Amino acid sequence: MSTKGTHIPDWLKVPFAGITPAPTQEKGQDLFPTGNWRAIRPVYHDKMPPCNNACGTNEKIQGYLDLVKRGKYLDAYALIKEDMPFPSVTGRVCYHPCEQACNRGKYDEAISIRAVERFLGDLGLALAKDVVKPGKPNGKKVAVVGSGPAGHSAAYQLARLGYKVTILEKSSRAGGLNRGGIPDWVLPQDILDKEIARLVELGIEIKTNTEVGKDVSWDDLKKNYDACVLAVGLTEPNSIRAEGEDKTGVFYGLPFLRDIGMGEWTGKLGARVAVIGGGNTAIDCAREAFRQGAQEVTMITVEGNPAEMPCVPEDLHDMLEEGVELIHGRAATAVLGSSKVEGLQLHPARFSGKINASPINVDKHAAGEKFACDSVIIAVGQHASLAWLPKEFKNERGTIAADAFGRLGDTNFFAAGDIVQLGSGQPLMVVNAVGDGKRTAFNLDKVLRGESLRPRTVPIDVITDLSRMNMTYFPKFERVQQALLEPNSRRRTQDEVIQGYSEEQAVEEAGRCFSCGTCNACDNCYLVCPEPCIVRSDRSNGLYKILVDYCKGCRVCIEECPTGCLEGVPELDFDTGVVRMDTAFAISQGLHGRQAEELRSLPQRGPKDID
Amino acid sequence: MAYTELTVWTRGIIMDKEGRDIVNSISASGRLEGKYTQAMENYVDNPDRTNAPTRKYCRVSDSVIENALTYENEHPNIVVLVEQTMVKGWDYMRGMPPGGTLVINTHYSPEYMIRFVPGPERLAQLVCIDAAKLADHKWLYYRLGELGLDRLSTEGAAERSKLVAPDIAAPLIAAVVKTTGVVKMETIEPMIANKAAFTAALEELNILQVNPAAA
Amino acid sequence: MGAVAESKAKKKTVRMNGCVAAAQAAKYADVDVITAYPIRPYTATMMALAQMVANGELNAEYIVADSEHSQLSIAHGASSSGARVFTGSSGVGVQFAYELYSPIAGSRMPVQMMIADRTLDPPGDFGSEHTDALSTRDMGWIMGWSATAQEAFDNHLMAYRIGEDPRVLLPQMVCQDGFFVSHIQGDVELPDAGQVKEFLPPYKHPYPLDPRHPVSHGPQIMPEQGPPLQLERARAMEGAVPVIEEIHDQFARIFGRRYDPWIEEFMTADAEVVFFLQGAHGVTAKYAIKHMRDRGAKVGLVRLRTIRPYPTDRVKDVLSRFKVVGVIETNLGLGTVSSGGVLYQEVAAALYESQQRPLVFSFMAGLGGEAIVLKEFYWMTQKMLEAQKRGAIEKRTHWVGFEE
Repeated sequence: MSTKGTHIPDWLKVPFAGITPAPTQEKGQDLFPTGNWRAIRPVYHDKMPPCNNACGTNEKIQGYLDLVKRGKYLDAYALIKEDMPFPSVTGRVCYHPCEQACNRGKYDEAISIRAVERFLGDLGLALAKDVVKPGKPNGKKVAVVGSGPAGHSAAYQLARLGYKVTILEKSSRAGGLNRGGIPDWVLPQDILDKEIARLVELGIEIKTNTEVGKDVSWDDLKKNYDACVLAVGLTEPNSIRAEGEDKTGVFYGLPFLRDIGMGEWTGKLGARVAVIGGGNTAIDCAREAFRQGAQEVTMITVEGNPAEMPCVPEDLHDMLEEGVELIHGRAATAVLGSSKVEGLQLHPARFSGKINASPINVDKHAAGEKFACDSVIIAVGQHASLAWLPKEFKNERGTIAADAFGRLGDTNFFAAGDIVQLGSGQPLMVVNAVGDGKRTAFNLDKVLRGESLRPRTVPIDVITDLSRMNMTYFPKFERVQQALLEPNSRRRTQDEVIQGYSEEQAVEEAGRCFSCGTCNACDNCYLVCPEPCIVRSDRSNGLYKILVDYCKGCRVCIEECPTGCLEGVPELDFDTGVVRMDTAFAISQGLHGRQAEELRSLPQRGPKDID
Repeated sequence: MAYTELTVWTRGIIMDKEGRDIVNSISASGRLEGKYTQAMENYVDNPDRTNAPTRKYCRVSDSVIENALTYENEHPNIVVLVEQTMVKGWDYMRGMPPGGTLVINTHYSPEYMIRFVPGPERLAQLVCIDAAKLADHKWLYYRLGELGLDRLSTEGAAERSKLVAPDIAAPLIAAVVKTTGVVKMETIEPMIANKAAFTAALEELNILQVNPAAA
Repeated sequence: MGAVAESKAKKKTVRMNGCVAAAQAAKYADVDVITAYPIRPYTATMMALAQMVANGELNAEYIVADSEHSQLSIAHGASSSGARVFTGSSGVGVQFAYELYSPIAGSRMPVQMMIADRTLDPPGDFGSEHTDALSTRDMGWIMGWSATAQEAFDNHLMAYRIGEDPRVLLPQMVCQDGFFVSHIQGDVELPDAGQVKEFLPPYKHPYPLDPRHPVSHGPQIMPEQGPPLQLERARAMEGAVPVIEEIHDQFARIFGRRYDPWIEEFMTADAEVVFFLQGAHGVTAKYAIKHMRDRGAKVGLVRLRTIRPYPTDRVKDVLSRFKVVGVIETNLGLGTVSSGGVLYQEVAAALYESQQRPLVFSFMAGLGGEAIVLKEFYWMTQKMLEAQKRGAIEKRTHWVGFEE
């Protein structure tokens, strides 16, 4: 019997007839850790969505749109409130730089972010008590001068940080430009009142009819408060420096809107109104003129065409719908009439430089036209009134000299809002003022706690290139439009022109969000992984775990990630994830190697008896 | 050395030719110098699949190689990794006698790479060379469809390109020969198709002396 | 007629493995039809040939069949029409085509099949065992093993000459160990085109399938017509013996390399114990034998080069000179006489009439394609020496590596 006396060593024993255990769901993959095939490791790396980046106060827009998609309205509202105190205001008035930046705009139509924010803001106002609470009191007092968007935002953030905040407002009612610069048919008064009431809920004291430089001095501020935020805004209207500008019937845009907003307007507009200016204030004035009884309203602007006008295009469109006429390329060189306005003298004109604030070149050699009107509203920008400010803090632009952190020198005085933004290159918007107020509040807090202020050095990766995402997963859908009141009737009322979203509309519009560069738990990677080696460890807003022992680096998940959040990082950049496979070797190590060993030492050995 | 074993680790299909060029050219040079040499492909690694590890072997000896009919190099003195991530995936150091050399095609430095090497005390030196850059090779994993793509040769029977080392094998061969002297530079250099990369590599070697006394 | 014959191909030495050597031989033989079906290790030959045909180096019909059975069927048909055919396979592929072996041999079609050995399933092992080809040994093909790439090249050329000889007209299996010969490179001297032209005339079958001269191949017959056909087949196989010797002489004359057609002897002049084997392990055996000679053991090697037709008398005469013959079986013959492999029984039968029979037993070594290392040769030699001392065998089959 030939097999008698044979013995199979342990390390060569094979299962019966070469039958091997089959991989099971739990244990099978232990046999073949294919992670060592990988040269690129997929990594979840959230990038900055362009909307968050463009927002003046960096609201987490992608975040709250995602929450709305999933029906979590309260969480979405709370998320906005981290950066924005009054979403029901910005949801109506903001010029939405986020929508301009929205990547969806390159694809079909930008998300109507402002409308969703309005939906959430109104939902928040309906709560009996707000979700935001004041911080634990730290015993320090801060004065905020001005209750406009910047002041409101600074006071809000400071209260959340635990400061005792007092807002000093020179007008009779709080609100700043929100109240007295934005018409009721954009922002109803009661909405603003409710938002201001939320400030009081946070323990903020608001003193109206209190003007710095009159009721309170600079030294009072220094003495009575640990720090101060100057958010005084630009309250003085610019003049067009035309002859006859002082006649009766000439009004200025900001005071016009402000007095109406404060309920203090005593003037009267004639039947034919001319509005000089091409910006948003001018548009609001033109539309308000109708509501104040004008029969014909004409806007006269130096810009040569609508595209050059520094305004929001949809507002211009709504204005024209209401029946305002538009004259381009003209400057008013004189106001005509005896003591009352009877008309304007117009000359062709152009801006001398690129930006609309550059000096105007009037063509005096051309014939002047006469434009008949009874009232003129001049809306060509504002400047500051800073008589009360110590000289060392004034700069050559006529605004407050503050450093990059909004601080005046090394004092505990800070400035925020239009008052520092004018001429800085940033557009003057509510949301930019809010952001400025927020950042200034944080900087103030750092200074009072003795921490140093440092500029940001880490570059942010803003994802604006659609090819970094995967568009296959996004069918084209049009934007959900907000309903508007009918133009002819609406110009006679102060009713809100743009209607808000219903819940279904908000969810549908939020559903169009790409979630650019940010994981939102869509499960695509989990589904397409061929291995499969992606585990859903935590479901809320997307955390997945990649099983590094098995991932082969095939890149399917990276290519199929709709938001572009998955990236491929070279494997050797990681110290971790070493997976060594044994099965690449012959089983009996050493048998042949011993022979090679012998051969290596062969020259040294002589013949000897066989052993 | 009287008897040297050299094992090349590559990724299947896409880098087979590189690995084969290394062992074939070193073996051919050894023969020209009158030594006994042997070069063979892996046989026990499963059939080549793209990206899976495969090995090529070479033996150079002053006397007849009597263990020619074996499948693997069990005690490689020189190990070459054609693709850098392989440093993490297998125990390529298994069986290496003290005084060995490890050559890796990578842009990282040997000081960085040594952390991934199992049992590095057996190494006399760790050599890193950015062969892909020197050969101006458009790597890699994203563009498999465009790669050199000599997919014929997984059985070592047919080559699409008859050139020896037209690509990243050239700098790797230069690295091996320069740092180990397994064959002479003047014997092997004429065989190499990509002479520019070969010569450039001689200046670009990044060598870490690990345990030279072990040799 | 083709590329190589008319070319000015000059003699040169190239480094190639056994698979490529076989492909080169097919090219030099200017085959007309190649049928192919991939199975490792033979696949390398198929690939090399495909490249040659695609490049225009070889003008041949290249047909990829849908299985080995089809492969051989097509080869049969092509050869029947007068084409010189080259095909090949390994392992279980060889067995898949089993139905065709007898018909091809019996219808006297000189198809050439390159076999790169591979262990039979189960489960799946690329390593070399000779069982695949050996399982067809009685079907009537001329069969032999090569130990190096050069020998493979030469054997392929000789096999065509032998098989196509009008006195023979039999198919040939030219076998080589998978990996050891087929995938390890060796030096191969490729001949001058002129040498090949002189050595290998064109193939001409006496009764090819030709519409101009219609014949029937392989019709149905009655049982009484069977025996004469079988006798004819046996005559063909026996008649091949002198032709084989003649051709090997001719080869030596033209190409300068002389092979003994049947047996290669190594250090047998004064050997007392010898290994008897076929194939690549003979290469390692020689080194082992040299070392053991240094230690004083009188050991030698007898390597069988052609197993069909079996050189019975030659084996008898050669092996009778020794005291002990250890047959190294790199094959599996379950339930055979020795309960081991298949070579033993033919050796024992060949020695049966000998007046001086040596002790014969066998070693199962190199199974599954595992290398036989020098230490194992020493162990085997030790067993033979012990048997010599004892004067009797321990058992008919030893399992190398599994016994003390």
